[in-house]
Amino acid sequence: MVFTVSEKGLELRKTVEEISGQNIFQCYQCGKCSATCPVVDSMDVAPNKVIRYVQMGDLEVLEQNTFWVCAACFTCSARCPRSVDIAKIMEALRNVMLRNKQDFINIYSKEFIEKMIEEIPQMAIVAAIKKGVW
Amino acid sequence: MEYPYYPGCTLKTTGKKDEEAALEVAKLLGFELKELPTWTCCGVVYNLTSDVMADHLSATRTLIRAQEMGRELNTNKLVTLCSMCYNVLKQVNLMYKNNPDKLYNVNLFMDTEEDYLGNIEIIHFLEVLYRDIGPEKIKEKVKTPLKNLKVDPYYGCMLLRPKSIAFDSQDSPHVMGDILSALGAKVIENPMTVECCGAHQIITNKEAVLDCVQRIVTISQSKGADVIVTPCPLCQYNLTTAQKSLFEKGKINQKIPVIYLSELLRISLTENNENYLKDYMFIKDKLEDRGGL
Ligand code: SF4
Ligand code: SF4
Repeated sequence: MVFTVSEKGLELRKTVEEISGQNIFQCYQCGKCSATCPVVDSMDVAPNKVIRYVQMGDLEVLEQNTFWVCAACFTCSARCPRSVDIAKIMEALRNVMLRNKQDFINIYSKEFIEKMIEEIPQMAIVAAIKKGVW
Repeated sequence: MEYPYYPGCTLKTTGKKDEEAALEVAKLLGFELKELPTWTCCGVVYNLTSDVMADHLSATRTLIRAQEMGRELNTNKLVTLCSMCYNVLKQVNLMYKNNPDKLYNVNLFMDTEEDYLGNIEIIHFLEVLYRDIGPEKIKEKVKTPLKNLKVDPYYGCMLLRPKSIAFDSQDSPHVMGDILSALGAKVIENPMTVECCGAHQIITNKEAVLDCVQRIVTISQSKGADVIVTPCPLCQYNLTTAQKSLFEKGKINQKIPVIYLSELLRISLTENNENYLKDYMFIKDKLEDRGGL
């Protein structure tokens, strides 16, 4: 069976590899990253699957919420048996979206402004903005 | 001994209690944390891309401030209290150590600052306590042993990951436990101690934070913890507020107080701690109940 990857798919794979500095094919799909991810239950698809999408050059990966839900906790990266820095791949995918002017958070929305008024530590607010706004 | 000290934003607002207690604990143990005269946000989260340098500049400025103060105090160390500041400053610093070309470029770019030479060592307050002072010496200075107080030390992510910045075992850290034992507390082993609290997802995905916290505190509770201690202001906030929601939803049947390690140290090391203890009735009660005081 032969898989064909679209031009755009190839480009996405290359961009993710460049931004993350990771070799996406180093992953052998064991699933440990997903087993260890603390927020996997809120993800559309698990972290290992996101990597599989990128390996296959499948643009649908960009429609999943996985990389937005990622808390950048480095747990997956610490435990991957193939030393894939998955946290960096999640960051690369966020950057693909953000550099394309597709923000995750609207900082002018009522919802977000209400958060600012709550007593949430500003470290959380700054982190959320840095991960979700270009 | 005087250490240059970087507080970071949150310790001046929602994390104030940590700073207040830690500065006093330092005095009680015979050292001083001297705040950098000017500083900016560290950046909070280390930029994980390989091609964006701008995000590292605020941390770099702080490293330069530390370099300046270090000359006066004759040290190359910079102490942080917040886990996230520790993580970001240490990762940025390490990036320069591993990539002298990036350091060269950034120095050329920041032409209003003195060059950063790459020699600062970022250490967390816990490392000062553990390495420079040591549990033995802390034990000698204890005024109120925390006898019978069952404490669950919760580390979270940012002190131990990635491995290149970890100052303790990544899977079974012991530094906080050793310090707590020196105070006479009973230390609980919680296998969730290095798991994530959900971090900034509190803003956009509170449910995920509730899940994370439920897993952590359920074990604390089953092991009978009286209190959870953490060094991180975001962990402290998430664990506290998520427990409130979980309790209202009936997902946990008890809320465990979450305080900073520094607060517990101050209670134990201060001669007349009545003043402090009144803010922590649950500790006072426990200590008295079980004959600790
Ligand atoms: S843990 Fe590593 S090798 Fe296993 S699926 Fe995840 S990225 Fe791939
Ligand atoms: S870094 Fe992101 S994907 Fe990896 S374990 Fe943490 S939350 Fe999950």
